[in-house]
Amino acid sequence: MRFISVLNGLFAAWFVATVVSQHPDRSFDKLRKYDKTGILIPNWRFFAPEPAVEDQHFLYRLATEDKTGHTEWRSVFEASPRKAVHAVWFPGRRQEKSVFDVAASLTGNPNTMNPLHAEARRASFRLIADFVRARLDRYPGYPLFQIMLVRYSGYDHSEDPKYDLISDYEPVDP
Amino acid sequence: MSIGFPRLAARVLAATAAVGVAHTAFAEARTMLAHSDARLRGGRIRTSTSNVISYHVRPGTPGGTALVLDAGLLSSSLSWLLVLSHIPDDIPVVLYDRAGYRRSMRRCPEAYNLAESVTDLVEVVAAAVDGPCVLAGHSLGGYLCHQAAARMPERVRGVALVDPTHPGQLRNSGGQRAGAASTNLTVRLAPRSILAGGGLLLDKKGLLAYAEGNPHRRALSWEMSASSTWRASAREWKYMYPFMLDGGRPLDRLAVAVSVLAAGATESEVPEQLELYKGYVDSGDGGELRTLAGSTHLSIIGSPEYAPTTAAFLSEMVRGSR
Repeated sequence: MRFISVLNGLFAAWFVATVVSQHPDRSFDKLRKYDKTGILIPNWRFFAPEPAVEDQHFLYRLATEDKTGHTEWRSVFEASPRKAVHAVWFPGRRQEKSVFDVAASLTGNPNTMNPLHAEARRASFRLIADFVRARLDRYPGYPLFQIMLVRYSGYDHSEDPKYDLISDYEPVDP
Repeated sequence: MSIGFPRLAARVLAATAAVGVAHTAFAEARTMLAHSDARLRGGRIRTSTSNVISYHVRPGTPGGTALVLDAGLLSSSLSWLLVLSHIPDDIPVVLYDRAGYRRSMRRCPEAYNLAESVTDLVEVVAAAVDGPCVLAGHSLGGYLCHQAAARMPERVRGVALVDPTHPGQLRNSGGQRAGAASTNLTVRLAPRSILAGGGLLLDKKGLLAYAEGNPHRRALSWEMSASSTWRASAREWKYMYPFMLDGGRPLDRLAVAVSVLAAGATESEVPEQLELYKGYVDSGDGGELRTLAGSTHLSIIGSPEYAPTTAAFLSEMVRGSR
């Protein structure tokens, strides 16, 4: 009987920890910080409070050494049009998801970031810079490049793209 | 007899909520206490907006140019105490809390607008300052100071802005706009969450990481769990957000120096913001733009590493304005 009571108590505590950790704003995630495994407290938030309704695109342009000459903006990577087979087999989805996640960490408010978030942002930028560097078309006389983050609905062409970020110049061959 | 899981879970949930609400109530009471700096003398006025504003004066040389400090969004006079401790004693300093923060009460019957806060600031200066003054503001407080300076040119000798909010910043920067959307989510949900005891769940260790070593860190932490702090900031943000999305309005022309101290992180993460800061400097006469390398928007006044430099910048403004 005592064992059952202890078990009930443990499950009740786990249940309450799970309930109070579903706040849509992650500033209220203090309890999750204690979950070093990251799996003990389930995340039921899914798309809350606002689901993603736009694709994130990274564009790049090359620049001359003195930064006066630029190429046009070019796409690095585009989301694949969905097919029925993607319901069961879609390994490329991981790449799209990582682009989306990196974009989200780059657009956090720099004014309110704590040092950990700021470092995560810098790491995300290094990641996306390497991603672009590996895919860009090199052109003689253009040793630098810039990255632009654009949000676009993808289907509703009446909606204008939103330009979220333009990076500093990065060397094509560091 | 053992209690079944549903009943036990309900009891644990109720107990957790009760502890959370008690935490919020204690935090609310804690923010009503006077500041720990014994040299501060408190005062209170009812302004023409009907708000009851509390202010704190640290006397300096009688008749000397006073420094008036205004805090940012989600912050009160408490956020300036570390900087205050580095400002020379001969400079008279006035701190105040905008309506809704700490002991200042919002009684204005109309919907919130920036002119209300500016009027309150102008009337605090009239009540608490004998002679001329330099207005200094951090973040949103910076924009309010700039507006207030235009309303009392006879009193204001200079305007010092510490990583200020600029009304055009969301039009000017996609990064700022995306960041503001995330701030909007927090500010929209937090007041009710805090009232329901959510202050316990706030990751204050992370949120206040910039204030490591600040002797007022504990008080800052309590202030974040106070429902009134969040309600006041939500009210201001609800007005400011669409105002800034719309591009705000042009800055007033001032006949005094307007100087800006930008955070190093602002320069590196949002370089386009510096153009707007130059606009602030150009709106005055003879000011300058400086950057405090390594600092962030919050650590520029809240970190023991950067507060002395910020205090030196403000003291220099006061001395240069004589």
